[in-house]
Amino acid sequence: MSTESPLQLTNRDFKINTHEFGEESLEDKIQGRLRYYYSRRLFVQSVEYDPEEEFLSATVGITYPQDVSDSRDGQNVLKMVNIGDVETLTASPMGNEYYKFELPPRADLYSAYQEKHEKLLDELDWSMAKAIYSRVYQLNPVRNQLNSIVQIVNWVRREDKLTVEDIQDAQSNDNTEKYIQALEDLGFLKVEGNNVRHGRKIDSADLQNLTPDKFEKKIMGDIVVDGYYMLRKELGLRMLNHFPVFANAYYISAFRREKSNLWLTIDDVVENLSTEYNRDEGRLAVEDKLRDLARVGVLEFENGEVSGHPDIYREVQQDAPIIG
Amino acid sequence: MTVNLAHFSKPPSEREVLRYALKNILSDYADQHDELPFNADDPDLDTLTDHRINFGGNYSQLVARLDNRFDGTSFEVNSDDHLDIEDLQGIFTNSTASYPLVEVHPELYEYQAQKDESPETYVIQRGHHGETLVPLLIPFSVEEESVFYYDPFLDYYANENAPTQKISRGLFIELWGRCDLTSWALWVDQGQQRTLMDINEAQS
Repeated sequence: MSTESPLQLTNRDFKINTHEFGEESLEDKIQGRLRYYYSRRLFVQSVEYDPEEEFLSATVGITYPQDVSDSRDGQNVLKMVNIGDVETLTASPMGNEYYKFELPPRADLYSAYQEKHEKLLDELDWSMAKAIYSRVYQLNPVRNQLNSIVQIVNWVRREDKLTVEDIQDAQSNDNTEKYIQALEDLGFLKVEGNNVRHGRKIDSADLQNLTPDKFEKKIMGDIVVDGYYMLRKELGLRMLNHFPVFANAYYISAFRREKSNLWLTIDDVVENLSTEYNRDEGRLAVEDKLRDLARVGVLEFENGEVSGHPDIYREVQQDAPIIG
Repeated sequence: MTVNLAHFSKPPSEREVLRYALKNILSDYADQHDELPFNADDPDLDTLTDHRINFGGNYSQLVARLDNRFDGTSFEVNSDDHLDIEDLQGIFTNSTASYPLVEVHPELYEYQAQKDESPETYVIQRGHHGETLVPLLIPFSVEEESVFYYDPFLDYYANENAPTQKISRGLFIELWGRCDLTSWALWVDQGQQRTLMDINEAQS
């Protein structure tokens, strides 16, 4: 078979003769062809090759450049963001140490990448939400959106014989029943028949003898941590990840650069929102959010530039996924 | 050797390097070749490379789409690997050919950092899988001792025009050959076509 070429790329598949290449070179050659076919940003993360079992597979990721230069420092820094484990392509053996990779459509690989990227951002937002919740809770938009939940918690602590109807009558909110259900599911309320009482999680917070302000902050923090996805996705409480997303539009660069006091311009943050979150937000609106976040100690804001807060940086970093 | 890069456009973002490198070689070529079905304001540049944000574009569709675009003209897109430095030199001296796009091994940046001659530099940080940037360059000229090239990232960072970069001929051959696409280039020419898809690759 020596007349046949060791590497053949067509529009459907890619054949390789493993006999011709050493382990490192095999990875390199597979990467060269897949990069040519799919994206010049693709990388082969690992190759699994077992000649005995006639097994060959390649796990691929996507790497892209992000400008993470500090706006107060002259050095230009380009971070190569690595999004790994996007897809594993398995080849079929064709005999004589030839293997064939059927090439899935480019759009499929792109979707796999997007899913992976979104999942990482979602985890990052969740870590940020937990870290900054008690601070952003002071901000009006967040507080307003959670007000119905705060009311329910306060009422069940005050009144012993509340019914679902009592609460519904007192709130001009279509979601009241869903909130009650969610709080029951999470263990904050106990609903027996038509009666609504405080559940075990409210009871245990009560044991701490906190001032009313601190109690509210504590119990709302617990509710957000335990019900982040449910409240946001099922009950439409978008404010829960609203501020975390704006905070991460700054912190994503700081984490990638591994520098908690990285200075960015507002335009840099606007660009991160667009390239990472696929959100087109106006510069003025973004500046407002950054100022809000600075006011409650999530960020530093000075002369139109943003920097991180070391405590927030440390706390989120311990918990967040590696995002590149 | 200095080449005037003033007519090259600077990538507006660090993620649009391929698109702008392509735009630069094609608009430079269209300057000399009126009949080329391309102009600098071409809105289809992203489509040509199948560019998607963060995911980037690819060469195989670029070749197929340029092929389509050039159908019925004398222009051909060439994409070939295992080229010699003389092949590259031939592209520069051939008046019917465009400047080529080439890729070289990422170690280029380590050599550049050691050299550190230019004030317009940038530092590359690897990602957590250790992957780094595969440099995409537009070489201009091969001389006895040096190869001169344009680096779109430098242009992105430069305040004025991007400075012409220089690398020793031997080091260029080494880094060009060590790339996962071995000694590869993409360029436009009139006449015979060479493409990587379905071409035989000898063992390197």
